[in-house]
Amino acid sequence: MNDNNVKEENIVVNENEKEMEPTELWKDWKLHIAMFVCAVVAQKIGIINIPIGPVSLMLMPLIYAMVFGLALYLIKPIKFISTKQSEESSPLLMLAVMFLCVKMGVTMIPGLASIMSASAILVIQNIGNLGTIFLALPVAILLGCKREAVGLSFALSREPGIAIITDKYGAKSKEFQGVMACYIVGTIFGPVFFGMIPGLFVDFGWFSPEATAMAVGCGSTAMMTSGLTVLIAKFPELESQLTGFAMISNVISGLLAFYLSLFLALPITEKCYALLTRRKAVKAEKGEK
Amino acid sequence: MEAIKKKITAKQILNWLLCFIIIGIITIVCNFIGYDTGIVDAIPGIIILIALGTVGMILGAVFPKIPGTLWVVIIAMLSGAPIFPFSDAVIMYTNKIELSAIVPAILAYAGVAIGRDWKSFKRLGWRAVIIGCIAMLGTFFFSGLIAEIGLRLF
Repeated sequence: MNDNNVKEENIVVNENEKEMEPTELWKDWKLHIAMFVCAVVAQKIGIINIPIGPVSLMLMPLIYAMVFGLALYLIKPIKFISTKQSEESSPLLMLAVMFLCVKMGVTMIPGLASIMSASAILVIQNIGNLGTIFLALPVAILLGCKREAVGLSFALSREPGIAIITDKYGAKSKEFQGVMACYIVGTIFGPVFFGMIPGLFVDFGWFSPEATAMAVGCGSTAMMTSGLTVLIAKFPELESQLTGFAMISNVISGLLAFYLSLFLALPITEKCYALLTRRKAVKAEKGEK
Repeated sequence: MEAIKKKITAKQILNWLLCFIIIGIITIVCNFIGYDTGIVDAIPGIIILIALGTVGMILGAVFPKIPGTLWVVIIAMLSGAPIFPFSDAVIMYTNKIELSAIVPAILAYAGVAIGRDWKSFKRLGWRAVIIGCIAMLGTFFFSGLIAEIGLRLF
């Protein structure tokens, strides 16, 4: 009730405000036509199946669509897709994700019973986020990274990770450079990575499709979508369940990521870093507070 | 207080609606190319997705405590649940739109959006790329491992 009042006031107040989030995204028809062509051409190419021995690498249309979009931005002669369009694309991307979420919400209904029965696992598997530390931190230190290793490897860094590192170490720190690097790599390679690796795990029989669906939910929406489409292409009969597992896992990890990173991942990373670099006392204390 | 609150205007809602329509058109054509669903057959499903998506966006803006994506999922699930009188129609028509037909549009916009990061990406060097990929592998692998063990036990 209270919210409604505030809302009405806001509508009046904002009638003559101009600096709020862009409200004319739809007008950039050149961008939309270009995106239309990217998506349609990608879809036309279709799934490319590359068999490698007993497994098969599936290249999904979404990967080409992303590459086309990126190429349009990077190719200099194309003037109508530049920084402005790139900035417009972020809210548009969010809207497109909403669109997908509606579809996923409806799709997962028949599988709801099995999702409910696995709800505890869906929550617990988020602890898997900590696995990043044990794999990535040693490699980072081996490759000669210093403090940036902490930012690089404390989590699968999405927005909450950046917020935490910025808050703790500041935006000029080495740790911040690390977390941004991880974020950028995840943004650009994430969809490609999740389009390839999870499928292999299923093909080898290491993970069941259900467990894999949960695991692809651990990152960004683009990562999840990419992994999920591969799984659905491999197991169309499980579409509802897999969609539910991936989607719910993604929502839960979105809700938990911040706290998990702040209270567990970062302190553990600091401890491991101190241990691995044998500069215990000073660094460990810094990590605590 | 008020400044923190996300504001919505009629203009903004119109913007969402029109953007959804654009994304819907791309989806319909992808759906046609990839899955041979007739364009006319797919229209009711797209309208449902657009309507639910717009409602979700509005709710997300009015009650920002709950993320928009969660609102959308809740609304979608409610409208497909048996308690909703038109749930059969919602499920039937949205089933004509394949999940994989929505995705290329999303990633095409994502491609343009990440273009801005490309410069900083090029400056990163190979070490960051390797470690970033291992970070993804680590999270995926351990999440999957826990899920796998959990699913086998229960």
